[in-house]
Amino acid sequence: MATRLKEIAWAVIVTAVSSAAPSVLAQSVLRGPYLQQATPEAIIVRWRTDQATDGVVRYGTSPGDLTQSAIGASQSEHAVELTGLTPNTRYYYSIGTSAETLAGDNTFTFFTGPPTGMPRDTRIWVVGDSGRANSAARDVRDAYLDFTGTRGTDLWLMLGDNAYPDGTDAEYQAAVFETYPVILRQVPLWPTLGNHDGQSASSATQTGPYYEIFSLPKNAEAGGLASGTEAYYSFDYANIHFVVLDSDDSDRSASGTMLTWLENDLAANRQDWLIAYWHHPPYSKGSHDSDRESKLRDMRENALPLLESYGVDLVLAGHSHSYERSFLIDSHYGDSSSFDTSMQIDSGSGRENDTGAYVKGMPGAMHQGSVYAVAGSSSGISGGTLDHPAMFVSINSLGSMVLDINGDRLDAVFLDDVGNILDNFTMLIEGVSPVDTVAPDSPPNARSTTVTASSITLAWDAATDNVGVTGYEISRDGQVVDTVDALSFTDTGLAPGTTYIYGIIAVDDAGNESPEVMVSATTSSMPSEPAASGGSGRIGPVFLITLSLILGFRRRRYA
Amino acid sequence: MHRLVAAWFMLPVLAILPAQNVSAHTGLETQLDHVTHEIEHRPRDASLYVRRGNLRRRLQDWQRAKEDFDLAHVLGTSDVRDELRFHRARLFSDAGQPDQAIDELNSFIERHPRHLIALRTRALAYEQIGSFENAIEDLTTLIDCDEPQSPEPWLNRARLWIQSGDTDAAVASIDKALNIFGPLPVFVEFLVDAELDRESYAAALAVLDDLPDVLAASPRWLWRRGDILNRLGRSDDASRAFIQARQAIMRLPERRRNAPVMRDMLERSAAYGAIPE
Repeated sequence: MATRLKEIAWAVIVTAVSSAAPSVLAQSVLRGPYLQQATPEAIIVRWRTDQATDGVVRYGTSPGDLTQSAIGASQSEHAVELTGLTPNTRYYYSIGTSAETLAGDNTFTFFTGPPTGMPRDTRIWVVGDSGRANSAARDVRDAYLDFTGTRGTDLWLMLGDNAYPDGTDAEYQAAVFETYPVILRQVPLWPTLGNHDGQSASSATQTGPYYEIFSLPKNAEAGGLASGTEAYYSFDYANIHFVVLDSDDSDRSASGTMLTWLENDLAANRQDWLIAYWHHPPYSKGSHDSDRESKLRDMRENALPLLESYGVDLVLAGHSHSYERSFLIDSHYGDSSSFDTSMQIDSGSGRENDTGAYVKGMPGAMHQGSVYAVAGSSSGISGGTLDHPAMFVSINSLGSMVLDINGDRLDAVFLDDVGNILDNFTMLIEGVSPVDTVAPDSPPNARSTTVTASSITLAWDAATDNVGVTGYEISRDGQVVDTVDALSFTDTGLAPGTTYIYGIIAVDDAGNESPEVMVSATTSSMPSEPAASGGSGRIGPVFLITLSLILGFRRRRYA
Repeated sequence: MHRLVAAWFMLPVLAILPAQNVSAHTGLETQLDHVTHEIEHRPRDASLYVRRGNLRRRLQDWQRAKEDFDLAHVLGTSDVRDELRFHRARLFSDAGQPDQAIDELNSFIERHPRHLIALRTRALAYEQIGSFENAIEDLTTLIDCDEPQSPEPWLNRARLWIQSGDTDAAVASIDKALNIFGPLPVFVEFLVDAELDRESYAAALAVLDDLPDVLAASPRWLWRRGDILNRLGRSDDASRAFIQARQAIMRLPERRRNAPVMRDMLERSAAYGAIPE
C-alpha cells in the first residue's frame, strides 16, 4: 500500500511539474524520463518535452551534488547518453535544458551494473502483455513493488503487447509512461515487440511508435553481436546474456536474417547464463494455442533448436494471457501431441523443498534442458485450456515474474496481482564462478584531520575485503556526497560553527558494502587557519546505532 | 482494372478457407466487438469501417473485411478512398492474391512514392509472382529512402539478385551495406555463402580475412575457415584452423564450452590434433 501511494504521489508530482510548466518554465516534460541501453559504464536517459530544446542530464553520485552533465541535441524527443560511469555505482540525476532543470529529485536514480561477466545478485522484473493501462496492470505493478520493497530492481523486461490495442504513441503514453512513472526513471527497460505493438510499427523499416520510443542496442552497445536492427538484439548484464527476438514482424525462418544473426550471437557468447525472450510462446494452451498459430510454431521449430544447441537456460514469452511454466525440458519441436516424457530432463517441480531444484551443467550431458515460461497476464487474463503437456503449471491469473540470479543460482517466482506467489522454481548451473557476497570490513581509524570554518577533512585506514575494496562512499548528514578511492576526503563549502555527521562505507567490486563508520566534526566558528582534529572525532558504536535509527541515515541502494 | 474487379469478387471464395486464427485471437475479437458497437452509434463514420475491416483482415475473415472496405469506400472522402487502396492491398496480400495486391499498390504508390510499408508489401508481392526485377526496384527505392535503415531489405534484395542469377550485383550491394552498417554477422554470412555457392573459395577466405576481432575469434568462424580451406585442398591450413577453433572453444567459460554445438565441434575436430594445454 505504501509503495502504491508512493507511485501515485510521484505521478502527481510529475503531473504538477508538467502542468505548472507553461507559466513557470519554458517547456514541460510530457513523458519520462526513462532509462535505455544501460551498460556498466553508460546509459541513455530519454524524455519528451512539449517544445524542442537542448536536453541536459545533470548527474552525480549524490542527489545534492549533480556536478556532471551531458547534453543532447535540440529536439522534443530527448535521448542523452551518459558515458564514463563507474560500474556498481548509484547515480542521481535530473533532466532539463541548459538553462533550467525540469525534473529531478532523489527518486531520479539508477544503479550501474557490474563489469560484464562478473556475477552479481541480480533482480529482474518481467511483465508480459502489460499494455492495457487498466487497474489490473496497476495492481500487478503494486504487487511487485510491495514484494521487492527496498530491494532494488536491476532490469525490467517487457514481453510485448506493451500498449493496447494498436501500439500507438498515445497508447504507449497511457500504458507505459503513465502506468510506471517511477520505475521507468530508475530501472533500465528492455522490451520486445508484440503483435499489438506491431500494428503501428514496422520492423523492416524500423518505423512506428515502438521504434521511436525505444533506444535498443542494434550495434552491440550493451554486449553481444550487432544485429543492425532494433527489432532483435542482445545484451549482457553481470554474467547473463539476454537474447531478444522479434516473433511478430521479422523473418522467423531458420535461414532468415534474425536466426542467422542469432546463431552468430550465441556462438560468440561467453556469459554463464543464457536467457531468451520474445512475444509469441513456443508452447502454450492459453488464450493462444501453439499447435495452431504459425508465429508460435515458427519460433518453436526454428528458434528453439538453435537456442537449445547453445544451452539456453530460460525462455520467456507472453501473448497468451495466463501463466504457464514448463518442466526442465529439451528437444520438443513438434505439436503438443508429440511431447513425451523422454523430453523431460527433470519431471519435478524445480522447487528445493519439493522435488529439488533443476540442475544443469552435469559433466558429459549434451542437452541439459531449459525452462519455458509464458507470462502474458500483466494486465488481463483470458483463459484457454491451459493443458500443454510440457507445462508443470498453468494458471489463469494476473501477475508478473520475478527472477533473482546470483552466481550459479536462478530463483523464479510468479507473483499475482495481490502479492501471492503462485509458482516458484530454482535452477542451478555448474561451472560458474561463485558470486562475491562478502562485504568489506568497516574502514578503521576513521577521523577528522583538518577543520576550517568552511571545510572538514576526513581520513581513515584501508578497509579489508576478501576480494578487494574499490572505493569509499561518503555521506554527510545522511546524504551521499561522494565516492572516493583515496583514504581521505575533504568536504568544502560548509557553514561555520556547525556540526556535521559523516558516514564512511567501504565498497567492493561486487557492490557489497561494509557497515557504516560515522564521524562527527564541527567547523570553526570564524574563518581561521586550519586546525588539526578540530571535531569531536570518532563516535562510539552504540551512539552510532542510535543515531542511525533516529535519523534514518543508512540510505538504501534504491529510493 | 478488370483483373482487380475480378479478384475483388473472388474474395468470397477465400472466405470458405479455414481461418486458423479466428478462435485464438480473443484480443482482436474484443476489439471487433468494440468497433461494431461504435458503428451502431456512428454508422456513417468511414474510419470505423476501415478499422473493422483491418481487424477482420487480421482474423482472416476476408469476405467481411472486404464488405467493410466497400462500405468505407462509399461513405468516405477521397482521402479515405485513397487510403483504402493500401488496406485492400494488404487484404489481397494476406489472402494470397499478390497480383491484385500489386494492382492496388500501383495506384497507391503513385500518390505515395515513399510509403515504406507499401513498397515492402509490393516487393513481397512481386517476389511471390516471380517478378524479381520489379521487387528489386521497390526494395531499392525503399533502401534509398529508409533513413533508420535495417539490414533486412538489403539482404532480401541481394537474395533476389542471386535468384535472378546476378551474384555480382548481390555481392556488390552487400559490400556497400557493410560500409554503411559495419561488419554485421548477417552480411558476412551472406557474402561467404554467396562466394561458396559460386565456388569462389579464395573470395570467401578474403571475406574471413576482414572479419572484426569479435567474429574472427569465434569458434564458429574459425571452424568455417577450416571448412573452406579443406574445400580448397589446403589440408594443413585447414587443420590449423580447426585446431584454432578447438583452442577457442577451450578458452570459453565451462558453461559455454559444454553447449551441445561446441561439444559437437570439438568431437568433429578430434582428427585435427590434440586439444592444446
